Amino acid sequence: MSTAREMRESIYLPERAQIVEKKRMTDDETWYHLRFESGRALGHDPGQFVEVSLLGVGEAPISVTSPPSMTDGFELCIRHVGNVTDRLRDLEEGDWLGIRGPFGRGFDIEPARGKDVLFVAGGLGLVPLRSLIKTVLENREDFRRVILFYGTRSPDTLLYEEELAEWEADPDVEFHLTVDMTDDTWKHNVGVVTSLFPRVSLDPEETVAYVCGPDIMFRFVVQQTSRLGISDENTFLSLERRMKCGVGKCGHCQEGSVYVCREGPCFSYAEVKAF
Amino acid sequence: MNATKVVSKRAFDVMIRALGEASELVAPVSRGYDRFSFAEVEDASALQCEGYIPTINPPKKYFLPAEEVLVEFSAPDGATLGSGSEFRADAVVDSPTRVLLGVRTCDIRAIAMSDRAYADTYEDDNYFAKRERATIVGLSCLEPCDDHAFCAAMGAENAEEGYDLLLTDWGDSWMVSVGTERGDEMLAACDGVGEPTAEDREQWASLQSDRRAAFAPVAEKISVEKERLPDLVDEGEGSSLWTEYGDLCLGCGRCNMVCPTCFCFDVEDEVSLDRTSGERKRRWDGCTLLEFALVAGDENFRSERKDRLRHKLYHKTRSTFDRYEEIFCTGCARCFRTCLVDIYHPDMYNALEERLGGDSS
Amino acid sequence: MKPKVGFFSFTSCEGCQLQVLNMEEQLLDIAGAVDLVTFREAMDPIDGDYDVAFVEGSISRESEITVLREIRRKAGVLVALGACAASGCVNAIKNRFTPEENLHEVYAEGARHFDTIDVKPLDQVVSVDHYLRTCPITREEFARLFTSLLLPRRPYDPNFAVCVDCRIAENVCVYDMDEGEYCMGPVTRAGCGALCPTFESSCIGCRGFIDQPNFASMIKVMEDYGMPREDAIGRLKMFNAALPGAEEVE
Repeated sequence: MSTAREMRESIYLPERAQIVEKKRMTDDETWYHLRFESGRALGHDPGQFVEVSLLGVGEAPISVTSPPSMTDGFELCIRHVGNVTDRLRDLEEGDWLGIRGPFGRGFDIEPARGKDVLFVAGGLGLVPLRSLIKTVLENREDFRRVILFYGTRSPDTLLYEEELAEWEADPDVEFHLTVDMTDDTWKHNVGVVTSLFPRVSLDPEETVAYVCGPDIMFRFVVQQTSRLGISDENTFLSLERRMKCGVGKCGHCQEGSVYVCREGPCFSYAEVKAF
Repeated sequence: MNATKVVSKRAFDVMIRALGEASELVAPVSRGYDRFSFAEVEDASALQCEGYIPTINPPKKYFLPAEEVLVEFSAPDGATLGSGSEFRADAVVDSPTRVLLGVRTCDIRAIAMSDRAYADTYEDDNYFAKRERATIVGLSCLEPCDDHAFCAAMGAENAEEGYDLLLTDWGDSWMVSVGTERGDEMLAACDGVGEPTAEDREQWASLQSDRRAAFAPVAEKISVEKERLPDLVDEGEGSSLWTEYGDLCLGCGRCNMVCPTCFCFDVEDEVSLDRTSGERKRRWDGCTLLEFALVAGDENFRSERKDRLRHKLYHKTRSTFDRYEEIFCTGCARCFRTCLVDIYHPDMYNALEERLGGDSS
Repeated sequence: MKPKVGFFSFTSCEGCQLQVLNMEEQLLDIAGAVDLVTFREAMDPIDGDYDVAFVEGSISRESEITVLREIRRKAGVLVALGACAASGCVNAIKNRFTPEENLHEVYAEGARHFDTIDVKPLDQVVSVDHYLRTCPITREEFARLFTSLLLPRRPYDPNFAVCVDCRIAENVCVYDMDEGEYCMGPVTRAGCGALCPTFESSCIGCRGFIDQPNFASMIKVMEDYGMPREDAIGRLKMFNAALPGAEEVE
């Protein structure tokens, strides 16, 4: 009998990457700038994710938050809620991680060209959406209105505060912010993210919506977009499931007929309805 | 039918023994209690395994082992794992050369299905390293193996492809269908391979007609055509059937483990006591288990047994049909034989069809 | 700095601590990685704070509650060491009878001196961070948890049935042997590698129940294979009478 142990490529082998910079964003979220040891660019699309490994601890799927235009490494924003992500809290600049990916299908940006773009982000949903928002803003002339709704629990859970300020100041961005609860110093809206819809008038035929947040938020946001008349084909979502292998094999992220990690995580609402 | 030859069992055995010098030979072996397992053997005599019903675990274990190391890793001198220190990681891809003897057509069909799933979009190197080095010698069933198999309802009582050689018992000889070039080479290495005579052909035709008659009642175990199953499971989404079966189901995962078309897995890291080296392993997992669809933050997308049972059937029918135009069930009935509360897919399909019919009338 | 570790023992046979001492060649690695402050089985107790407290045994007297709370206060991480601590184990069989019945059965006339309460696993008194569930614990599960605590990472603690491990081992199911074995693998937590069924014995449920156990179906299976219903219920409760949910077993 012969048993060969081959040195061959494996879709399961993580590639080494180093933390170039780390910034705490909130009590529960940290932003990391990573660079592959090989120096290669990640080469992702907005909305795609990577599998982050701390060898010995495990692996977790994390959305890429930097735009594809960034070639000196890439950025992740990680919420510390699980086995691996808890441990990442303690890692410092210069430390090493394993990365596989990018995986999955990102947001389809094509339908939005020449149209109004509506971004709706809830909580951590801003993380994958930021990659797309930045890409749209870098190619601002390809799009008409850019409308951004962002909602979180409270002011201290806001992500990317500096960029939020930039977007708010940008005359080319219609920026609307809301929190579920706050104190008197808050100058923006109070309420769930759907309470922002009455603040803008939309041209539904000419609007493409990108929505990212918890499942419960999707349900309410798509009620609004549907009611306004934005078609299901022009409403895009990113789903969070248990994407363990990232390559459509392990089965944990199956939803209806799809493996979210492979066919998604970004889908049109029309596709999600068909699951 | 593929090119068919006649070869004496003795000559075939000589060829297999020779192959065994450079490959691992595996075949169904009796475990007592009317149970069988694929295990290592010395020669082709195991092909004669008396009363062989589908093995406890299917041959998938040779391509997707129940437990398999995917990555080995270590920390450099003086450092420990999990600390963010530099690390070394290497892919581990075992690729033994194996001959699988006596694979039933249901399992041949299942292997073809897992091939498709494991090649889909990203080729799984660990799977194909083993799959590509495996030779499959199939064995035709002349009659249903027991009262539970519903292979004929799923069209898996025959296999047109997916094997290197497919054997049919022919007294002192094997009638051999050749499926691949590799199969051709194997036959070429046998002494005294003959063309079927006119008499053989006549007997073959009569054997096939006997087989059709024997499997006809098996095909009736499901009251609808298999092409109807995806829609049936879809339409039956809200049926009370799932609650009834969910109440019965133990949620033990046995059906997933023994299913030849269940290929889900979980991944865990294991680390040495000194924390300087470790392995990332995958291990069979199943969608009927409570934590299968649990995500970080503790949301469970299928928190009840009935949801998980329905998901399993949905995946075997609708999902795979949408993706591969094929229903990923071979009717081998391993799930039924292992189930302690006798959950039988044909019963569920038939009950769904009956209730849906009742609803619409 | 090395983590400070203590081992403590309540109502039990102390076999789980013994399993740790039995780890032989690994014992030096373990001892070298931590600062062992208290080891009830091997040394005298020492006061102080503990990064990790391994607590063996179930709680069966009021005085044990006080001591356990004290340990909890002083411990960063508290680990239930073995089935008594994790689920009550066979000690909890006594919960199925009245205190008077127990006292009379066990101690006859001397009984009045022993003031005991219903047996509780640790987590019915204090919060427990991690569990080692087998009776007795296996060296492998101890080593694995110990390593996880040092890394640190969430320990491997499967919440699926023993049947999964048993299929992975490709055993012939003891029910297929039909030789009078009444296996409780379908409702019992895996993690032991299906040790008993691998040796053709039934799983007797020492690792406690999985979440969402289907007791009705489990009892029906045992009945179908010939065990009287009452015996099947008793069997389910043999190790697990103190677990929440055990009262549903009827």
